[in-house]
Amino acid sequence: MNYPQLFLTTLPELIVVLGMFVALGFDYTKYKELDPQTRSNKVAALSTIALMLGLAGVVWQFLQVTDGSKTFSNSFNGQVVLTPLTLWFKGLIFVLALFVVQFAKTDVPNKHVSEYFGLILLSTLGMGFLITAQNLIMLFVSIELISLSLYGLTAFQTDKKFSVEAGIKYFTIGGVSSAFLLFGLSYLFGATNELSFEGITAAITSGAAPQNYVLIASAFLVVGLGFKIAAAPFHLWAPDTYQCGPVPVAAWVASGSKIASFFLLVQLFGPVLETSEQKETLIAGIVLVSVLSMVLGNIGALRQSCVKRLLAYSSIAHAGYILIGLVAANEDGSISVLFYAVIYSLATLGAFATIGIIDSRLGREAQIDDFNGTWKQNPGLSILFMIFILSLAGIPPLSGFFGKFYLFMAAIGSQPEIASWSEGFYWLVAVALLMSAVSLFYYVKVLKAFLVSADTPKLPSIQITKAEGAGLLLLAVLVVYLGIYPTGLVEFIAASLG
Amino acid sequence: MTIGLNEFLVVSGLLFTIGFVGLLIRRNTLVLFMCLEIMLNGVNVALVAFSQFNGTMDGNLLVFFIITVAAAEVAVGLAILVALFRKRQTVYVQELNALKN
Amino acid sequence: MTVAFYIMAAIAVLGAVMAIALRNVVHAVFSVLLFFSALAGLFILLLAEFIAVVQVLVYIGSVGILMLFAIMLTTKVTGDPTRKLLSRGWAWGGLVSGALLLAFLVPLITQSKSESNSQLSNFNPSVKDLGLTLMDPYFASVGVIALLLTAGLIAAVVAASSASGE
Repeated sequence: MNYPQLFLTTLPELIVVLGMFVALGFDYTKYKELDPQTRSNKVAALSTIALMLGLAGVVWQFLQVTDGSKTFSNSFNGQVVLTPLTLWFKGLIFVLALFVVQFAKTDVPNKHVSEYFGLILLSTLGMGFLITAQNLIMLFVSIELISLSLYGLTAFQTDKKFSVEAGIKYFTIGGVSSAFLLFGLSYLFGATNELSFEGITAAITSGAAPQNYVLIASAFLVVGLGFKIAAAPFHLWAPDTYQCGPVPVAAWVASGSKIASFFLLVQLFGPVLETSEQKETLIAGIVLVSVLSMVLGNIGALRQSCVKRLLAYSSIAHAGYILIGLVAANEDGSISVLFYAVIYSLATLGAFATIGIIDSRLGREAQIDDFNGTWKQNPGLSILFMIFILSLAGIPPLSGFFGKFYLFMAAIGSQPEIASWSEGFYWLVAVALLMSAVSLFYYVKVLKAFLVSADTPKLPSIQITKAEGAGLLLLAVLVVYLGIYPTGLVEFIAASLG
Repeated sequence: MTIGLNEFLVVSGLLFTIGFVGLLIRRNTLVLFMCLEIMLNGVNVALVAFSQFNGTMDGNLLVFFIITVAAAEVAVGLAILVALFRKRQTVYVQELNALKN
Repeated sequence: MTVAFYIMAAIAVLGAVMAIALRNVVHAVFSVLLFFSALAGLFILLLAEFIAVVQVLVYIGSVGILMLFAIMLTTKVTGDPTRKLLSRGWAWGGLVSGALLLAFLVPLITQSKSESNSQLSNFNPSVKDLGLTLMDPYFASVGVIALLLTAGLIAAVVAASSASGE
């Protein structure tokens, strides 16, 4: 065992853990007598520093790896695989966590300040580990690290009954999904006698693995991961969790954990889908999940008046769109899935953060009517929110449009090589386009309240803190930038996948 | 008749299914947690059987991790359950209707 | 071996069924404990003694006790007999989906030729081997487990501590 190398490989995580314990220690001793808001600012500052140092560590590793350094070539049996692609996504997770910390610090739910940020940091580490994991043990452990932290965060407002209820629901359904995932993993192990993805892929592609076990494994993995990405019909936890947990937590569940889960989906299913004998059954199953998600998500969103719930249903629909890229089952498909996961997370994080700011100033959950005439009092906030919503809706030239474009092109361009579907995925893309049109109704409904409604504004002029303003602005700039110049990111993903 | 891998796998699948059915039909949150444990234990049987019949240690290791995680998960779940009971004075899922839209 | 297997499997299934069917929550916890111990027996039949010991220590020793404590902290100990165990529509739905799951699994499992248990005796890893494997390639995962326990600790403390008073 090469401990110094393991130390260097996990350096960013170690820094963040250290920062978390420093923050916890200060909060329990030195800051004990201060009022919650001051404590929150101080703990958030410490967490921000820890995350930034961790990010610097990731960047250093990225530079080393792209330089062709052999320092990180040992992946410890696939547990921590550092390639340019995984490091880029890990860095993205750290950046998103930085945003979440900024949005979280103005409205800490109760007196447990450092625990709140500690759990956010721990879930960040879990997502980072999940992205670099190519081994079933590490995969399971990091998924559970994410889940446990998020259960705790969702149920964080113990004085609010909705929060605890949402926590119980999230916990129970998350536990079921873990059980299904594990059942799938155990058959994957049974079929191939391997724990690392490399060995599993080799055993499946060479045909050595018994096909009946592979089929059981794929079916249970689709169900288990379907719960994690909130795809229909496994989506029942999502609306409650998003609506009733603290808003920054909802933003974090919708962005960070989505990226990590989709990265895992691509890594786990990508090779299997390209070669396995079970391709036909597996693709049929994923197509079914995808269509159900798009239909149920978009129809469900139509009748919501609570904005957070609306975004929750829209996230279900987006999971459906992303799965289209997965069933394309080729490199273009994988690229488009990863690209869309990135831009969807940026836009949804921004939208949730805006709503969080409005919620905390209103002191209750914002309904669509509450936004009437916001434009007059808060033009800046309205423009930013409009950018996020239009990107989610997929309006050019924002990045959401190009994300959907790549997904649909990948599906059309793929040759399914399945007898019954020789015409390709045209009809699947047609459903997706139809559902995108449906989604315009509710996105426009929200925007209309914001921008057009002539009513007198319900919201007073909102003062946002510098950190919040900078975070929102940066997210909006990224959303616009990736829309105008998507090729940079796409080419990077393509080059590192190949 | 000898007992082979298939017998263990069938028992594992049966236990997993019983746990899943329990999750669907019971309304007491505590019983739901027990059902989760039953499902996880069903998985453990399959893993240990695969590991022992295939002659590798890796499956046994995964079982260790599962047992550890399950214990941690139970602790968190029961803590949330106690918080819920304090707030609502119930552990029955059908009474948790505040969230219906 | 054969007889022992069928006895253990029957006890495990019986314990699991009783756990989900019994109305009294305390009785349900005790049948889950029965289920856990039967599984430990199955692990011994599979020649995985150490896992059997861990099963007894962790599941019966701590998880079961934790559940009994949770019952004491929440419901009246005898449960509530006036409540319907389950609503009828859900029960049928649950049973049907369970049957479907089994109908999917069992034919697929039995497709492969059942390997005989003579293979089993060839493989009997010692606790030392297990520990070494855990520490050598899988040390990183053990580290992440440490983080997970920290997260679990924090989440449990926050959830269980009352928000109103100290």
